Amino acid sequence: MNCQHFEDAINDLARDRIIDAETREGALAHTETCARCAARLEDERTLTKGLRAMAQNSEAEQAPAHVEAALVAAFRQRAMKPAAEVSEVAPSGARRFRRMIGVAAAVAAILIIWALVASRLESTPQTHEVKKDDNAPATVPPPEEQTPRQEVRPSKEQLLVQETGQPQHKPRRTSRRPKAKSDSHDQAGKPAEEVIATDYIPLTYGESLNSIEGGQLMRVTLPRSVLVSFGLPMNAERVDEPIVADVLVGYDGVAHAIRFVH
Amino acid sequence: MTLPATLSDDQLLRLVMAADEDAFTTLYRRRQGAIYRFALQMSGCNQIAEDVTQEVFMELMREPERYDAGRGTLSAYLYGIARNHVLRRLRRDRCYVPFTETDEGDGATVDGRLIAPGDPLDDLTRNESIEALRRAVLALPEHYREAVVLCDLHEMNYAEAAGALACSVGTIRSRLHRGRALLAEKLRAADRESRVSTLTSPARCLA
Repeated sequence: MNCQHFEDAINDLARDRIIDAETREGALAHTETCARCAARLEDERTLTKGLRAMAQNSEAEQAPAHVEAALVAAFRQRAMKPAAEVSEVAPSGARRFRRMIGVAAAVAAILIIWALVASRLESTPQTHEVKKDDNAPATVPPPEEQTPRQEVRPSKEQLLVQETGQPQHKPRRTSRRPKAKSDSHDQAGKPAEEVIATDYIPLTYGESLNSIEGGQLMRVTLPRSVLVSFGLPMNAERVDEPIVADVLVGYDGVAHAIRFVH
Repeated sequence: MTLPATLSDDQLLRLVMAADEDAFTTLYRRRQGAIYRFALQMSGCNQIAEDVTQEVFMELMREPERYDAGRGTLSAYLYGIARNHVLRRLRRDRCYVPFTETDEGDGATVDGRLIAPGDPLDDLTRNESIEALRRAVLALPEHYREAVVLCDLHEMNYAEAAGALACSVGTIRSRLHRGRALLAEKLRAADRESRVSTLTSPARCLA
């Protein structure tokens, strides 16, 4: 045996592990002729004895009694729990599966909400952009395509319908151009105020705008956060700025619809 | 406690899974000492050893089905959990004391006196030497330390240690070999320092 082979066997030899007799005898014979390996074996044996003494010294060490008490209490608590509550200890694979189901349900819920909001916006009437005179509130008809009756239609002096520019919010905007140049100017010949507005949005659940016979249009100022409650996007940077809206108040005094004006 | 002492760990674990408190207590008392000592020898910190022991058995209580008898003994499985918790705590707390920072001047060594019979200072020497050895073990890199602790202090064979550390027998052999070599080096260095310290310091009056 050479020094390299001796080095391979030295740990088992020094630790009194079972090794084959031939290796053992070869290693011991090598120490007769190699002082360095003999000293190395002596060091290793001393180390083994030291480690065994250390192990023996700490043999009595054990966890304090309060650890056992805490564990037994926890065990009892778990044993008393119904199966459904203990299911938190299900295998990690099952936990992952449940988590995936939860995520899928959340995604489905978001899609359903989105679809509902989209359908609600689709069902609202076309946008009317209104130029009204200085004496607000004015009497205003419901959207003309829904309430064609002439008797509730306001006069030109009361309400001018005009559309110009880009809407603030994409969802609803009219596609009509201004009716006539004269309509977009007030009596003094000044350009009329250009208004961009959303469609009328019903305020009463299930109410059709067709059923509104007419009423007054009241311009109000509302917190911008109201947009969110109608499913419309809101610019978070302008959350502190109020938003103008037109509320359609029927002859019965009830607010039937609202539109947001830019 | 009505359970027979001859029940194996696996049998006890099956009873634990059926919410048998006696089985859990028996299993805990059978294995807690080794797990606690392993954590203590790996960390050098009683608090960590306590916490790790508790965590190991809590984990066994929570997820007993994670133990796979085909992959090793329950004991090796518990050591494996303990090892993961110890390493996590050491990385988080860094509370063990490196050998080189604390051994200066205390004169503790492992040498021939450790086993010298009839030496009147045997007990004292032995205690100091064991303390020096304990610090030397703590100063080993983690992967060498765990091999030394399991194979030398816990008398595990290579296969059991490999099962606990989730590595091959060859890896355990080489880590143990290297770990022991490092340990011997550290102790020799400490021995040299202590001899120099003894020669340069004034003699103590023991009267």
